[in-house]
This record gives sequence, C-alpha cells and structure tokens, in this order.
Amino acid sequence: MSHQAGPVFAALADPTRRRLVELLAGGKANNATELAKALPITRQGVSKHLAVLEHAGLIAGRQVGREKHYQFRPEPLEEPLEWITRITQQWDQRLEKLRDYLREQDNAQAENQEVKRLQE
Amino acid sequence: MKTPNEIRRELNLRTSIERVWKAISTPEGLSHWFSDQVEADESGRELRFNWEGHGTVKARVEVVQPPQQFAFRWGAHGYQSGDPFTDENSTLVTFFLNETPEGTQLTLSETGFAELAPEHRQDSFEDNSGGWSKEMSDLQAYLSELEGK
Repeated sequence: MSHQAGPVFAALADPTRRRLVELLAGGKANNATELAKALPITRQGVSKHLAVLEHAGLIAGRQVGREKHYQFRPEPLEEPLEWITRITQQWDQRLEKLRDYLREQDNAQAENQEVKRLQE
Repeated sequence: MKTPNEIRRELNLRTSIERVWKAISTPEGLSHWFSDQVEADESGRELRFNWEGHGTVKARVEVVQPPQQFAFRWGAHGYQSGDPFTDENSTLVTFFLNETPEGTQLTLSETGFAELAPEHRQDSFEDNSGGWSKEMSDLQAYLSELEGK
C-alpha cells in the first residue's frame, strides 16, 4: 500500500477533490450527476476529478445501468493517519509526564510549607 | 476544517506560570519529563536532548519570551546531525503559557509536518507531493466528525 502513497497525497491536495471525497464519504451523493449539483463545476469536470481519485484508490466505481456509482475507500489513508497519530501520541505521553512532574513539585512545596508552619 | 499542518494540545495545570515556565524552558526542567538529559550551550540558543539508548537530538531555540512563549526547532526523522535546519528537515515546537485563575494554561504546538521532505517523514513514505499532512488531518477531522454524528 505504501508505494501508492504518492497518488493519494496528490489526489487530496486539490480542494475540489477533497470536497468530492467528503460528499462520497458522507453518503450525500454517489454519482457524477449528483456530485456536480453540489459543486460549482460541470459534470465533465467532476468526472475528471473522480478519475484521479479512483486511480489513487480513494474511491471505487461500479457501473449501475447508465450511471457509475462511487464509494469512498479509506484504506489508502491508513498509513499516513497512523504516522500523524504516532507523533501525536508521543506528545500526549510527554505532556502526561510533565503533568506528573509538576504535580509532584507542587505537592513537595505544599509539604515544605506545612513543615515550616509546624516548626514556627 | 482545522489542524493545518500542526499538532496542538492544551493542558490546564494547577501550577504557577513561573514553575511551568521553568519546566518547559530550562534544561533542568525539561530533563524531568521531556528527555533523560538536557544540555544547553553557553549562549542558551542550542539544546541537546538525550534519551538513554536512543541517542541525542539537537534543537535550536527560536523564541524565549518569559513566561509566555518558548520555541525550538528540531530535526525530523532522518535529520543528519550538523545539517542546517530547513523547513524540509525540521519542525517547530512552541509552548504558549497563559496565566489562569486556577494556575496555568499550557498550549503545545508542533508545526511544519506538511513541508517535510519525503526522506524526513516515516521511512515507508515514498510520497513526493507537498502539503499532504494538512489534507490528512483535515480529512481525519472530518471523518471523526462524521463518526460523531
């Protein structure tokens, strides 16, 4: 799958194609005619964009009568999403450690003050 | 849609801003939670983070505004020690601190993932188009929104 990453990123770099993916993923439309109604571009324009997305594996088309129906395929996104998730998790772990460290420090200070008060 | 090219986290801490500032901007403070050892050079503009068994990473301090903002740039995956930092081989880490009635609000931001050259992303990426990370996180945000409905 990873060797297919290039077309996936290129496909999603375009805002119109991202919008198409959103519409398909959200089940709002599933063919070029419906999609064209939701966007300020022609049916032909939509078809071209759909071809790019299909080539990248982000959508799959199926002929139903005279229309081609498209479905969103999330699989090519899994690896890049995992990568971002991993970096985010590293931060979550570090920040959790920071929170613990500060809590310990605050507790230590509170204890010191308590001891001082007792000594006074 | 949100999260352009950025990892961002917010923490509300019941700790004074001065203490949080020390924890995120001094080698002493950072060595308690960020890495095992932290050293600064004489100027204080260069930090070296060491993780036992994992080696050392150099960082260049970019912003020091006590006690509100501290930022450093560090090398991404595959960065070669000694190379000058560029948008293609490094990311920028910024801590923003805000005093609150309860203590301190800390915001962590790491930016620059979208500009990284392919060799500085994960090994398995053979992608050569720019700007993908933003799209990834936009789409991720959107998909999780969908799931939430």
